[in-house]
Amino acid sequence: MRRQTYLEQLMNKTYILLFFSLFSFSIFAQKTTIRGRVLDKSKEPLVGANIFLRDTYDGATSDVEGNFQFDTEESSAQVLLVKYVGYDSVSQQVNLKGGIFEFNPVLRESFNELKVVVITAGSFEASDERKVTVLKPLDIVTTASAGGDTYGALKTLPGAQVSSGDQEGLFVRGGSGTEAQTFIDGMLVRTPFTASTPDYAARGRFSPFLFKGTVFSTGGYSAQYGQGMSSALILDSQDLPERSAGTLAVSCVGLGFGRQKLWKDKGRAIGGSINYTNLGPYFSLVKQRPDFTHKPEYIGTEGFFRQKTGQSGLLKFYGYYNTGRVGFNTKAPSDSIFSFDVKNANAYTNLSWVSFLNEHWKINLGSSFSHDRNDIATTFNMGILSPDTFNIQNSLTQVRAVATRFFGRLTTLRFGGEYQYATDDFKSERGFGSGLRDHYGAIFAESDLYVTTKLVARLGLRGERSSLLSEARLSPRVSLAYKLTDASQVSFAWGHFYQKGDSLLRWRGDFSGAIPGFQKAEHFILNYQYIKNDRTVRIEGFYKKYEELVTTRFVLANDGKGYAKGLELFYRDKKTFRGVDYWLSYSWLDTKRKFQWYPSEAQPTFAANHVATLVAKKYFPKIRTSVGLAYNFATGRPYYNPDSTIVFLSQRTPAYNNLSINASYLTTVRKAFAVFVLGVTNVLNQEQIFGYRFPPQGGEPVPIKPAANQFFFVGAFFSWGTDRRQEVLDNQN
Amino acid sequence: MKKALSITALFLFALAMQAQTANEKFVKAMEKALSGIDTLKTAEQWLAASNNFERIAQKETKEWLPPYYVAFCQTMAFNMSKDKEMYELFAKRADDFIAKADALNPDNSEIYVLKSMISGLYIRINPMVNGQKYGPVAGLQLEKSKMLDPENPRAYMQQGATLLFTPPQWGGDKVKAKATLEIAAAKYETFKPASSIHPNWGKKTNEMFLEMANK
Repeated sequence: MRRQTYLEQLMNKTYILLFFSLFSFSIFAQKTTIRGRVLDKSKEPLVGANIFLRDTYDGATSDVEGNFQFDTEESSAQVLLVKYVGYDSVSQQVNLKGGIFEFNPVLRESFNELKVVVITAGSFEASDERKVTVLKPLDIVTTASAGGDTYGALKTLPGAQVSSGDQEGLFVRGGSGTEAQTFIDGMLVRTPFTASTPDYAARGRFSPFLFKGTVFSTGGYSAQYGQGMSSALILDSQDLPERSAGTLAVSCVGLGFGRQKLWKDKGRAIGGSINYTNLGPYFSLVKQRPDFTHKPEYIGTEGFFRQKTGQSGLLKFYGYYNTGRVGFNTKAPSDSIFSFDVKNANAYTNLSWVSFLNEHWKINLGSSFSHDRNDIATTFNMGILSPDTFNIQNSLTQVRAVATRFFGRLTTLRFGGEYQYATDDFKSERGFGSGLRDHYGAIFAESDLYVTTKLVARLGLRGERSSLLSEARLSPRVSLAYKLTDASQVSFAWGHFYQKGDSLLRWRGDFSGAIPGFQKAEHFILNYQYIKNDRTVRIEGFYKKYEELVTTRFVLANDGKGYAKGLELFYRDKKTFRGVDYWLSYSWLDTKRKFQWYPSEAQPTFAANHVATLVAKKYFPKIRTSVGLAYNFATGRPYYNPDSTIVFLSQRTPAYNNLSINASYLTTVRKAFAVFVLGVTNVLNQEQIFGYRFPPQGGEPVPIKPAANQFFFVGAFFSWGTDRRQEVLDNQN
Repeated sequence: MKKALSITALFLFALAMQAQTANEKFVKAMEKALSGIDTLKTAEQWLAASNNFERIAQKETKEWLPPYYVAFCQTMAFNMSKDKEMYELFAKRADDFIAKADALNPDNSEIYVLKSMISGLYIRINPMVNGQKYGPVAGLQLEKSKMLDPENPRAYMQQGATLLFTPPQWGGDKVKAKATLEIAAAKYETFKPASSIHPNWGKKTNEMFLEMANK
């Protein structure tokens, strides 16, 4: 026999080694069968879980009973993993020695926004970012009675008055229009409405398309916000747009044109628009009650700039300037004429920066400036006709900083401060006038403490001081929410809310040398909410106590008081009727207060006891048309009759009814996406009376009515994206 | 010296063998996971298939096909599911896995078809909100897919399906759909996958779509 060469020996050895190393598993490894059952915390089987040995192909999927079984030829120390969508993964060190290995993992549901309780007492949120919201931002623009105005849409929600067509603002739960404040990116907006004219409601200045999120709080809101005794409207401005685009709006009341450009790296965007509104042509077609000496005419421009900073930061600037004029003569008591002409100019800027410093800290910084100027020429009817002109100006300069610390996945602590410098100037041609300056500062801290994913407590404290009032106040605020089931939860809120007297009162205060102090409201709110399968039910009860309201009877004092209590229902349903989305709101309100010039506690003129709204929308795909309707109903509001034999504010106006409809036709015109809109308010032409104006010497009162019973809107909106396909393609990588 | 060379050669050979075997193992596992995939019907079946690919994906972190198929299975599970509350989860997972595949194998025509399908899922979750954002993106992803491989039948099938199922006011067009699906059908006839485990699905679905377009 030939002796093997060394190489041959080596080769044999190597081959043997190689042989073993390659096929060792199949020859020597014992086969282990891994089997068991996957359950969740409540012992329910989980179907479709992935059970496997890490870094191997070996594994199985659990069946309907949660059972699984698989064989492996791996041996010794291994890691067994269980993965299931929506649940935390389970991993376990195992030592496989052949035979059968029993493994019965219990999986815990992982963090899921839908499963986490949120505070809902007193607040309605419209957001695309959060899933469980009652409204979506688009709802605001598609509500028939809203006329594209954020405030108009909010009036279809419980808690808000619908029949306040003679006064600007949101009248929430027995609060006057000045008790509801608007905040953009955390900062107070001094003049959120267009120039106000007596007897006619003003619209919101800002387009609903500017905002990605809206929270309408009808009470019990966060300690981050102040100076609104009844309500806070919290608006979050848009981040970077999706693409460069152009827009054109043509309607029966004006023209608008806008452009926005998104940089190629998607890190920067700039945009602007110009709008011109003139109701002249419309008024010559549709008769108006007042005799317009200057038909409403406005010209406005706005611009924005947004820039990503670092990994997570975003710097945003928004600027707005609008100027306009409206003048009219209207019938006053005793056959006299009341005339009014206002020229308004309004500037607003908002600069904000938000960034995560690291995974635990977030910083928000902001500054805002606004200036509003009204030049008013009027003929007052005070027994004798007395013409006068006024120049009214106000401004607000503010800075704000908020730091947020995140603890774990849910619990947060926020704290920060704000400083506002406000000016109010009033000059009358007849010589009297005033100028007020206020340095207002506030600090606040608030924590969302998640005890479990089902129970959260929000504890907040706000301290604020006004130099003008020479007063400081501390407001504690507490909210609790508990999730009963996946779909339902209860929520409670309580807090103190302070507010300076409104501008008009402060001017008067200056005349007499005394400035009234803070007014106070205390809120108690209990809320139940159920959201499932495109159905939403909300029931909310509240009690509000007013103290230290400013009175102007003889001297200025803080001796007013009052209460408001009520029950509100909201039901939204997108399911029952195919393709129909509708909601119903009902508010019952019982309120009385003594404030301003009221001689005794009474239901205020802006409060109706029962308010109900139905909003419905349906899209007809075949004709590419979306149709909406809104019915607003309110029982009569108190009005003042100077006849001393009549109990103060005991009479009521007739009930208010308003059926609005709208239709939008969606299409494309060349490359532009186009929407043609048609809208009519008060389709049934029902009479609306907001109150009465009585002649000082007695006689027939003159009802206060809208300028016209109905409003017809016809418009077209076009938007087109810049065709930069290649650029977008390049950015896909 | 000779010995040393021989040993080195042997060693290299052994390594290659091992690599070869590992690759064979991968291909076998993939083939097993792919077998019968064209017969799956329910969302549960697709999710089980997804699990198989996910197991392979967690072992073969350098291969783009396992995450590609996870994304594909999640997309199909979405299509078969009636549980609206799960839609977002499926779309999100599909999105996560296609991003992994894309990172491992950039500029791949097949990946862009799937990306476009996933954009379509987001539109279906909330047409009003997501339509504006994902509509143009989905179109561009298909354009890119066709640019990367003009012979990919799935790009044309997906384009045809989009034209077929999109309401006319948003750009749907049955006539164009039919023409595009016919192009897809022709390309399916000549299409040869790069290997037994490369994407080779959709021929039957395309025939079904064509039938619908013909009605």
